[in-house]
Amino acid sequence: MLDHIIIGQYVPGHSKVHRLDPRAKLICLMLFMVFLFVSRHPLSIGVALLIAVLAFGLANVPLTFYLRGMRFIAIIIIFTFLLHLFMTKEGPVLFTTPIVTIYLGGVLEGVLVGVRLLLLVIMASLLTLTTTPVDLTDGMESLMLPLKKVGMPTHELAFMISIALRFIPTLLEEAMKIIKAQMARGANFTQGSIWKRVKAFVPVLVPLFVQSLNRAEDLAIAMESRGYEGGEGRTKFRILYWKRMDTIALVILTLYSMTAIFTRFLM
Amino acid sequence: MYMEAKNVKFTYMVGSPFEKTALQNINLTLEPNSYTVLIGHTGSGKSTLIQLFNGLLKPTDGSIQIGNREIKRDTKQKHLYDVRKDVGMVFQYPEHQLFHETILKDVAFGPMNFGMSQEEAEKRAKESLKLVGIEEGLYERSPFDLSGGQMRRVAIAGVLASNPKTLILDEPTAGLDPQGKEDIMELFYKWYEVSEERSIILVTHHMEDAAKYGDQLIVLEQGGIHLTGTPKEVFLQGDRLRKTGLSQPETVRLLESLKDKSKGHIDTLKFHLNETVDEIVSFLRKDQ
Amino acid sequence: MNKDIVRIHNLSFQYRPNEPYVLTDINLTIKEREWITIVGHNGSGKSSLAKFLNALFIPDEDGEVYIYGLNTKERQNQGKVRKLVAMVFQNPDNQLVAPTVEDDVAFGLENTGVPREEMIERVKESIKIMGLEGFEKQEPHRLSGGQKQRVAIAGVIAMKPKVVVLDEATSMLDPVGRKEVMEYIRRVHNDVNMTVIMITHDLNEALFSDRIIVMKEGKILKDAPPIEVLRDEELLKKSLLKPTFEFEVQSKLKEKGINLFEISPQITNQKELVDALCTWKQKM
Repeated sequence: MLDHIIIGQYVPGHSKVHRLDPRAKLICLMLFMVFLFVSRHPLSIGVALLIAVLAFGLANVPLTFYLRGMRFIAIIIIFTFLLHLFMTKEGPVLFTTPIVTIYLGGVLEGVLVGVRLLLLVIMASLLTLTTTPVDLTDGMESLMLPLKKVGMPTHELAFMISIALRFIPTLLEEAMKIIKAQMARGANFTQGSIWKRVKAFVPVLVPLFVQSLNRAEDLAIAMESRGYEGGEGRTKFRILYWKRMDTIALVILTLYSMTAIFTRFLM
Repeated sequence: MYMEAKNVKFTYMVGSPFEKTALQNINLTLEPNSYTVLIGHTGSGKSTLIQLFNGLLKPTDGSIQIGNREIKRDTKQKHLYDVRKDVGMVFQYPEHQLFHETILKDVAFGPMNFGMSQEEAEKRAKESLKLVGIEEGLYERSPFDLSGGQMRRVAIAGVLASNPKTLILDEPTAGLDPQGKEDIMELFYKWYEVSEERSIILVTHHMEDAAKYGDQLIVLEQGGIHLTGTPKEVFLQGDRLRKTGLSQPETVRLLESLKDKSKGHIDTLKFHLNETVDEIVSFLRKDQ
Repeated sequence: MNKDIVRIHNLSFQYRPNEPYVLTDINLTIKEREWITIVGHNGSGKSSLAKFLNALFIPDEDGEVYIYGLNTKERQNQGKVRKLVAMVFQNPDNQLVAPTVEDDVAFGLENTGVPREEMIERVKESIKIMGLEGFEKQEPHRLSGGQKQRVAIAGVIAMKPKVVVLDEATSMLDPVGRKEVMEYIRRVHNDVNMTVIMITHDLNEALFSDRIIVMKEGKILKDAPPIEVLRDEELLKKSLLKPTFEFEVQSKLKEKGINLFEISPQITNQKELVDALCTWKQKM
C-alpha cells in the first residue's frame, strides 16, 4: 500500500525541473493550483494541460514509476467524476434511466473537475519527485521570510521540519526493530478484532516514545554543545541560486494565471 | 532442537527497484543442544539468517526446518507464530523493547502471548528474573527506573520466560562494560547447560567469545557461507579469515606470532588465557 | 612545558539534593596537547566529569572548573568555553542534526555565525581530515556507525576547538568501527594538534594516551601513564576494569615465575610481547 503513494518520494536526477530553484518550484506550484481552480474555459484548461505535459516531459521521471503511483489517485478521480456526473442537473438532458438522469452539464462538470484533480496531483507529486526534502525546506524557509516581520518563527519552523526529515528514517528503522522484537515475544499484530490489533501496538508505541524522548534529550545536548542558540546571528551554509530558468518558469506560470483570469472574468 | 536450512535464498523487496539478495545457497544443520556462533561483517547476512531461524522472515527460496516444522515462502503466518514459541530471540540492545508498567508484567508479556495463564506466566517471569539476577524488591517497579545494565537483564529475562528451546542472541553484550559483558555471556552459558534440550545461536564480533563458547562456527560473507567448522578448524585458517577482514582470537594471534618469530613448536589453537600462558611457559622452559 | 588548560578544583556533584554524589572532590589538571583517557566502569562518574569540561554542567557551590583560565561558573564564559572544548557523544544516531553529511559538518559553524566563504573552506578541510570525501551529500542514516562518528568528529573539528572530549564515542561501534574511529582520533591529536580527552571503559583504547585517569564511584583512584595503570592489578580489579590481553598474559606469566619486566619495562602490544618472550627464551 505505502509504496504506491508517490507524493513525498524523491527520484534523484539532473533534469531541468530537478535543477529549478525550490522557491521557483514552490511559487509555480502555488500559482498553478490557485489558477487551476479559477480555470473553466477550455483555453485555460488547455494551457494548464500543456504546462503539465511540458513539466512532466522535462522532469525525466520514469513513466512506469509514475503510473504505479497513480493507481490510488485514479480511484479518487473516477469517484469525483461520477459524483459530479450524477449530481449536476444543468443543461440539456442527454438520456434518462429509471434511476438517474444524465445532463450535459454533468458530463462537462465531471470532466472539468476530474482533469483539475489529475493535473493537481501530477504537479504536486512532480514537486516532491524532483526536489530533495532539504531543498524543499530551504525554499519554504526562504519564502516564509517576510512572515518573520510579523513574529512568525520561520527559522524554528524550517529547522523543525529539517530535523524531522533527518530522523524519519531512523525512527522507522527503530519502529521496525521494536515490532520484530515484540513479535519474537509472541505479539500478534495481524489477528483478532480491530480493538485487539490496535491494542497490540501499545508494546511498540511505548518503547518508541521512550526512545524518542531519550533521543531528543541527547540531541538537545549535542546541539547545545555545538553552539546552537536559535536563529539569531546564524549564517547559512546552503544558499539558493535564482537562475534564468527559474525566471522563465515563473513567467510561464504568470502568463497562465493571466489567461485563467482573462477567460474567466473578462470574456 | 534440530534446525536446518536447505538451499535458502532470501531477497528483500522482491519485484521493486530496491530488490536486494541478502542470502544465497545457505545449507546448514544445527544439532540439538548445540552452541553455534555466527560471525561476519555488518551486511554479511547474519541478521537475516537469524530472523529466518525464528520465523520473523520467510525464505524467498528453499526451506528452513525448525524442530519438526518447516518454513517455506508460502508458510502461513500462524505457523510462524508457533515457531517463535520455541525459538527465543534477544535482539541487539534488547532493553529497547521494554514497555510495561512493572518489571514483572513486562517479563510475563512473552509467556502470556504464548498462551500461558497469568499465574503461570508470572511464576515463569519470577524464575527468569531470578536467573538474571534482578532482586525481588524491584519486581513491581517500572523497568524505566533501572540502570542500563539492569534494563538489559530484565529484557533478557523477558525472552527466557517463554522457555524457548533455542535462544538466538544478536550481539547481546553490545555497549556493556567489560565486567557486564562477561557476566551476561556466563549467564547465557548457565542457561544453556541446564537442559540437553537447549541450544544457542550467538551472533558476535568477538572472536574470543566465539572460540570460548561455540562448538560450531559459521562465517558469513556477502550472503554466503565462507567458512564453517569447530572453533579449532575455523581459527586454524587465519589467512582465509583475514581475507574477509576478520581475525583470530587474540590468544591465537599471539601464539602464531610467537611461533613465526621463534620457529619453535607451539600449539597455537588455545582459546583460554590460562591455556595460552601454559603453552608459552612450556615453550619457554623446553630445551632447544 | 605546555601550559595547563584544564584546572578542576575540589569538584563535587550530585544530580539532585539528597541523592548520592556522582563526583566527590575531584582535582585535575590537563596540559595543552595532552591525550588523556578517563576510564571507569558504568556509573563511575566519568561521563558526568566530561560534561563539566565544556560547561554543559556547571559546578554549584562546591568546586571550580577553569578552562583556559575561564571559570565556567561565570555565565559570560560559558559560550567561550564551548568554543574551546568540543564534545563527541556516545550514540552516533543522536548527535547528527542535519540531513546530509556536509550540512552536519557546517552546523556548528552556522551557529557561531562564520561567514559563508570561510565555512565552505572549513567544511571541506574537516571532511578531508576525517577521510569523508565522496560522502558530502550522503544522508546520515545510510552511513555505518564508524562513519557517523567520523562525521560527528568532523563537525566538531571544523569549529577549530582547542580540546576534543570524546564521551564513550566508540562504545556503540563494532570492532571495525572502533579501530577506524581510533585511527582518526590519533590523526586529530597528532596532525591537527588538538588536546584529546577520551572517556571509555576499554583500556585497549587508552594505550596511546599520555595519562590514564582511573575513576570509581566519583573519585579519581589513579592518574598515571598507561604502563603504570595497566601494571597495577589491584587497582584494575578494584575499579572493575579489564586489563588488556598483553598485560593479562604478563601478569599470569609472572605468577609462574617468568617476569618479563626484567627484559623490557615497556610491553604494551603483541609485537613487544613476542619480542620479549623470544629474548627470554634465548637467555635461558
